[in-house]
Amino acid sequence: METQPSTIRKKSNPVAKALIWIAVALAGGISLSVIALQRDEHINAIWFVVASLATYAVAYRFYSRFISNKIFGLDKRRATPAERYTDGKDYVPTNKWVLYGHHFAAIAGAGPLVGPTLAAQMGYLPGTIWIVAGAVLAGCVQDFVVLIISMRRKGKSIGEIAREEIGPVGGYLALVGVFAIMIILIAVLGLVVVNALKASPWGMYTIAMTIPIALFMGIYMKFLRPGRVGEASIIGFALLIFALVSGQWVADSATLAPMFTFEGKTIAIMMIVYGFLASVLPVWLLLAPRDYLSTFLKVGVIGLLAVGIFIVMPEIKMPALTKFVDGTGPVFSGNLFPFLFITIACGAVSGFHSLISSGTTPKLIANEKHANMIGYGGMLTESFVAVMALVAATLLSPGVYFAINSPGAAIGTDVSAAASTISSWGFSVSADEINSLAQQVDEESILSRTGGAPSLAVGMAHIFSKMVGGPQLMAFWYHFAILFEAVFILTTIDAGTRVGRFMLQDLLGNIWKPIGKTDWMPAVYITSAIVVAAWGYFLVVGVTDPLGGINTLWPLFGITNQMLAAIALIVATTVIIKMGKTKYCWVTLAPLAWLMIVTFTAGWQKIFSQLPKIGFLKQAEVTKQALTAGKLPPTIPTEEAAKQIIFNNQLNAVLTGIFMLLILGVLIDALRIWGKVWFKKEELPTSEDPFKQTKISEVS
Amino acid sequence: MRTFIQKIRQGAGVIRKIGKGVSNLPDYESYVAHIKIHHPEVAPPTEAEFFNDFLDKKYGASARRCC
Repeated sequence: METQPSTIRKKSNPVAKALIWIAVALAGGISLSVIALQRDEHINAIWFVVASLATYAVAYRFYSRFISNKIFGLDKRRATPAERYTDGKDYVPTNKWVLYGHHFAAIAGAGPLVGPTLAAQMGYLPGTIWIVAGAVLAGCVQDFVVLIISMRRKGKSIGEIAREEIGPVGGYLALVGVFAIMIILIAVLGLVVVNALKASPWGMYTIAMTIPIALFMGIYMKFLRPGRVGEASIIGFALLIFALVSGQWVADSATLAPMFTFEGKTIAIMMIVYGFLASVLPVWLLLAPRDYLSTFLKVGVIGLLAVGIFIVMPEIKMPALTKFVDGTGPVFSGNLFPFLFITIACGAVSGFHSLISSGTTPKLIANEKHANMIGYGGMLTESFVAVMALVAATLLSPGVYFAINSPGAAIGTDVSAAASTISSWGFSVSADEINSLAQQVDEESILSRTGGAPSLAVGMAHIFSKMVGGPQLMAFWYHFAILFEAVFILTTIDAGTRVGRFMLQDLLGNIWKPIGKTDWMPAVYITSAIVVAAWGYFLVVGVTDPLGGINTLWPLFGITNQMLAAIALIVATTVIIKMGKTKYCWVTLAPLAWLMIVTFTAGWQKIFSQLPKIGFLKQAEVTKQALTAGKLPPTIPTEEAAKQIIFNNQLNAVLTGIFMLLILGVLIDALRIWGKVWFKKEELPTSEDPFKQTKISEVS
Repeated sequence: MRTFIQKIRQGAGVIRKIGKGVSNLPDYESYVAHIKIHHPEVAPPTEAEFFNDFLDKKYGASARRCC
């Protein structure tokens, strides 16, 4: 191995540095004002890119350093768990950039793509502001602080830290909260995939093909060439592209196309069976190979999208604000406050990341000083993904955007009727426009393909086809984007089911020992079945919901995800207070307060709002009245369906209430600790590992 | 020509290492090296065993999944 020539550091010039940062801040400020003030003409996407990147740079340089220096005193001389407990397997000092890549791949999922797409119904401005400001002040702070706290505690999980720092009650509630959000997450992402694949033989065939491809890769890595993940992934990727190309032959064939054309409900049931199998089969066969394929695909496509936006520089067609800020929009119901802030969850702040930041990553950090790049920087990158998703959604003409994303109950099922309804909202679109787009992407129809994935795919196909292939390849790129989204959503579904199964075994094992045994097959089957039944129920209900399942499920997911973030921030605030840094606890307390206000307002409105479109209880009541009066609206075809809607809305109301009580429980338990420090002036010990001098001289 | 091939090999090695790191794959060689230095009395596992253990752990009870 050649040794790298040591880099000679130039003497830094403070004036030049200050000038550069002033220039960056100015570029960001100018771009932001262009975005905010432009009213009459279409604005170019590049302004979004500059505004967000400049804001990220300033926040990273100044705010992340403020947190690491003032609160935690990150110290390059302090040995990290990767060094203290090094074992060559779980605890391994890892290169900063490689670990940054791993951490980003682990936190990025479908959330930051779907949320901004849905939020685009209010115009591009509110979403952009929340994605950028939310990330630098809340999301990145959460990820970064949790990463540091876990890194100082042997890489313990957020649940364990909650138990140690707050108490057993808070810890147990946090665990139940994580399980519940998992179920809702899987159901809502499943719904996104179903809506993307229903009546789409090309998409359905391609996604179905990923299963035999994964099985082959699994056998290859297990028996043919043990552990050769790279080789298997390259072969898998080649097969995947073949599946994508041959998908068009299937779609164009009169005999094959019907074989891969399914209704939503059928696809949902297939997905439930798949989830169960993935949970009980050995991981090397199905789960692991899919996971690798999806990681490479994910990182690759996101990179490609970034390059595409820079090269194509598309124009944004959506106005800054639409009239739907008043809460009457068809894509999701509810006012800008609080519902925009839960619709865009991942991308601005996501509680789920606290699980990753307190899992694998802290065990791999080589040097404490790397935490800024990995924790804060990783989330900045995810936020940028959300900005790109927003760009992809808003570059469509608004009429087309609403045609794809509005449920049938809002615009009807006939193309010309839908076109005139949408035009009457002030977003002119013609039936021809909608039909020709469907033809371009080789789909039967693009009307009411709710869930965000199809409209994002159209936006991405727009960008990609301008780079490579032109309009001829529009259909290919559309299905490529669908494949990309579906593959990693399905990876969340199968791995999530398995994780949920382990959590359930853990929770139930406290009551009846044998059910907790992970090698006892009856226990595995029973708990797997319970987990798939739980999310499967919400999925099937969402698919058959005539009012559009996304409308109900996405807010529920957003609320739970933001509540999980609140739990993480409660734990983080507790640690900061116990460290004697109350002076700086606003760093986590401020985003915590904001999230509590947002989630509790949203939760309250979802339960008690007098508008049936928003309030679960009101919706149940209105449907009940219609049922007893025998005057069901045309969107509810049967009495059965009506009864189902009544029950589901009541169930959702109860669930939302339970989530709110759960968070209150954790908060009250934590307030008890804060009070001890603030009023009784007690000095409480934290579970932080003591200082130990590093022996690693220079880590690359 | 020889050095050119060597350079390509080296480059491929680097890419492989980055890919492994990003997907959090453990490095068998460095694990064996670690065992030999710190626990010389223990016989290192075979590559297949090592990989299986890793998979069990990664998708086991402490697995994580994100939105």
